[in-house]
Amino acid sequence: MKLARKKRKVSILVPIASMGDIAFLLIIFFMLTSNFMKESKVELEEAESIDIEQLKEVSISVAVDEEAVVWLQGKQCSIDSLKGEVEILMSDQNKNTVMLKIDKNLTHDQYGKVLMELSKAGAEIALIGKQLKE
Amino acid sequence: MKLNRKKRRMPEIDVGAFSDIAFLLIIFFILTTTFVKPAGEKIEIPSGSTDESKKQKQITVVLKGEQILYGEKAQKMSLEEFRKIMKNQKFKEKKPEERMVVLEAHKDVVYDNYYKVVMAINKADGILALLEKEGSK
Repeated sequence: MKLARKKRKVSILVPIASMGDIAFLLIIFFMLTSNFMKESKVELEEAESIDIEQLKEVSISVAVDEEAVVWLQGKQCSIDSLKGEVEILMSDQNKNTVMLKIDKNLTHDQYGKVLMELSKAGAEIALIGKQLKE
Repeated sequence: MKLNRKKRRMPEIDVGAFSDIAFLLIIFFILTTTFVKPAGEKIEIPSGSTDESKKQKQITVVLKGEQILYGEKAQKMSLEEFRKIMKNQKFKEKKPEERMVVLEAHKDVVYDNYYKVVMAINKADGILALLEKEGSK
């Protein structure tokens, strides 16, 4: 005997109305949390060495460009005020590592003073360069 | 006489594709983003004056133009030779005052050369000491 079965087809509906909101929230989140390079406008050629490895990003950055202009955190800074300003930043951020980038064509009378000022400020200097293969 | 009025249509903007666009944007940025990972080394530069009694134990390196002059006798050498000498010093087994390498650079030394020498000292676990000339601030 055949029994009549009632089959109910259940249609599965996934609500996708909020997907757009989630996507835009993700975009906004990444936009707000991204860190842009502070010295991206500073033009310099990095020095090269085979003895270096990759470093973690350091929050305090000093760059000396091809015209021997000193940039602290992406803002122009005079050599005389460099020590004081770095000391303030280090105490604010509770860190003593400073990322230093210098144009490879500068001569010692241009970059020597920067190194000396940072050393006097008590900073641990992370010298940034290009990694050369052996 | 009655005129036929046109039915007003409510303007509707189709927002169904918005989420697709947003997700496509996210995927595009995830795939095209390259994170900047700086390469370099942290160096130790002790500040302060040098004790005369400790000076004898320190290695002196002078940079002049493209030349590397090593030790008291100012022995000329290439960067490769200098790197080998630094490695052979076995600084790791020495006391901090014996790990000091005093680096003096002439004013015409280009940073690229200076950087290579500093990194060679650092790689061998030497402690860099900078010489400040008298009269300079």
